[in-house]
Amino acid sequence: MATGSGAAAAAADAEEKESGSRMITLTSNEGKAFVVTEASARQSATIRSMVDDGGCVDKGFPLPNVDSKTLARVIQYCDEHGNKEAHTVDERAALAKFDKDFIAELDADKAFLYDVTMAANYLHIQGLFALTTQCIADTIKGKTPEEIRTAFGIEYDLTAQDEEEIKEEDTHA
Amino acid sequence: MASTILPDDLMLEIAVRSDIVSIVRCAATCRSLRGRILEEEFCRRHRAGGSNAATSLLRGVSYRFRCDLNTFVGVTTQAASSPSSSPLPRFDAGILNTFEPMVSRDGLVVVLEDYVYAAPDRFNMCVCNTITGDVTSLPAMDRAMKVKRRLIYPPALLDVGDAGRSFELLVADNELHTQTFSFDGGGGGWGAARTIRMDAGHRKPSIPMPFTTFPAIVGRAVHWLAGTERYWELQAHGVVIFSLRVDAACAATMELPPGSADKMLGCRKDSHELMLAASRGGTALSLVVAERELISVWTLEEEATAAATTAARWSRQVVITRLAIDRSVEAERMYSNVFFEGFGERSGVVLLRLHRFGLVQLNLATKEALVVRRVSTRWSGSISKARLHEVDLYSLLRCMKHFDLATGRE
Repeated sequence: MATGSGAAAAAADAEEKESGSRMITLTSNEGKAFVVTEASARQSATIRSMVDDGGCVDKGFPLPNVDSKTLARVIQYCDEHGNKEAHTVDERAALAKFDKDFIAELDADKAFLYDVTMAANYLHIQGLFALTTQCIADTIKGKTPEEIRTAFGIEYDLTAQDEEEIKEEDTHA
Repeated sequence: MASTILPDDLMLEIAVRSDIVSIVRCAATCRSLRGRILEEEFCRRHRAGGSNAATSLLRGVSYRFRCDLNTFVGVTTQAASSPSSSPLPRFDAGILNTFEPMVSRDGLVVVLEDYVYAAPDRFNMCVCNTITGDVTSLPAMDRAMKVKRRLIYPPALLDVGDAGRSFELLVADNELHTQTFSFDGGGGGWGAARTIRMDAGHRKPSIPMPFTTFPAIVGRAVHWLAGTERYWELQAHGVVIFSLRVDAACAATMELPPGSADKMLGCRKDSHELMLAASRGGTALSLVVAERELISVWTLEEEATAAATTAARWSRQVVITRLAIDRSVEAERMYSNVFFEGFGERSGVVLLRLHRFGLVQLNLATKEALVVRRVSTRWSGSISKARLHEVDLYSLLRCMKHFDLATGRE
C-alpha cells in the first residue's frame, strides 16, 4: 500500500493501522448518513486532508455536492480500494476485475456516470476519477463534433465562418 | 460554461485522455473548450499523462504484406490493447507498391522510388505528409552529390514543424557530402552542397547501411550505423556509429558499446539486428540490440566527468525476452532473425520484424510487446516496407486557429 520509503512510510502505516478502526460519517446533500471505515474515506484526498488537519471526525462530513445515489456508488469504490489489501498479484487482479465491472455498470447509465465523475472530482478520488474520465474519453472516440455537443449538451457557438476556417483541421472527417 | 452536463474543467480531463482525432474534434465543438485545448497548459497536461499519452502519439504502422497471389498494402492502427488508437492517417499506402519507405518522423514519411521502377541515374524521392495527405516530390540534387542508390545514408528529417507543413531534410552521401532540403508551406529547395570534415584521428566509414539503419537525430547531430569493412562482410563487429554535427559540418565515428555485439544470435551477428534510436524524447542516443535471448537497449549517458571514456558512458537495459513477445507460439520461432524497422521517438516504440513470425511493436517505456501482424510458419506470406507513423500533437495544436473568446463565453 505504502509507496513511500523508509521511516515515513512505516509511520504512515502505523498511523493507518491505529486509525483503521475509526469510522467516519459522510452525509449526502439529502441528509442521508453513510458510515464508512477511515481507510475507505481516505481514498478521497479531500476527506483525507480534513481528517489529517484534525477536523471534527466525530461530527462527520457533510457533502453538499453529492446526492445519496452517487455517494453510495462512490463509497462502493472506496470500500473496495480502501479496505482491501492489494499486495499480491491475485489481489491486484481482483481489484482490476472490480474496476472493470464497476465501470462497465456505470457506462450503461451515462447521466449517472457523469454524476460519479463530478463527485470523484469534488472528493479528489484519483483512481476513480481516472477510471471514469478514461471511460468517457473512450466513448467519444469516433464521434463527430456535433455528436460530442449532443452528448454533453454543449452550446453551439461557432459561426459559419469559424466552421469554414477549421474544417481542414479534421483530417478524418 | 460551455457544457450543460460537465464543466469545462472536466471536459478538458476527458479530452486529455482522448486520441488525437477526438482532441481535434473536441476543439471543434465550441469556443470555450477550443480555447482551453489550445492553451499551453493542455499540452503540459498531456505530456504528464506518461506512457499512455505518449503511445497515443503513435497513429499506426504501414507495411506491405505479400502472399502468393495477393498483395496487401496498408496502414494498420494499433491493436485494441491500446486505449488511444486513432483512425488511419492520410497516407496513400498504394505508394508502397513502387516506393520504398525510408524514414518517418512526426507525420512525414520519406519514400524513395524502387530501383526496378526508376532509371539507374534517377533518384526519385518524395516526402509524404500523413496528416494533410500532401506529397512533395523533391527536385534533383546538386551534381556534387553522389546519390547512387546503395551509397547514401538514409535521409534525416532534422526538423518538422507546423504539423508537417515545414521540414528540413538532410541527405548525406558516402563521399562526405551533404545537402539539405528546406520546405515551408509555400515551397522549398535544396541548399548548397557541403563537404563534411572528419574530426582529427577519425576515419571516414567505408560504407553507409541504407535500408537497414535509421538516422538517430539528437539535437542537431545525426547518428547512423556505418560499416568499416567491405559491404559483403558487413557484420555487427564491423559496424561503427557515424555522427554528423550538422551545423558545423563535422563528423566523427564511435565504436559500438563494448560487448554489445557479443550477445547477439549466431556467428554472423547481422547488422540488421542493431538500430540506433533517439531515445528519451530525442535527447539521448540509444542502440537497440536483438540479442540471443532478448532485446536490449544501450543508452549513452551524459558526460558526467571529463575522465569518463565514451565506452564507460553506455548503459544496458533489458527490454523484453524473445519468448515474452508471444508465448502462444512455438518457442523456436522467436529465435529467428530480427529486422529493425524504425523507432518512434514520441511514443518510444520500436518496430521490428521477426522472420517467420511477424511484425511487432515494442514499447521501451512499458516494456510491452504488441504483435501487429503474424505471418504463417509456412512460407506463404511476407511483410516488407514497414514503418511507424507518429504525430506531433503539440505542433498540431499550435497551428490550429485561435478564436476570440469574447463572443463565445457566457
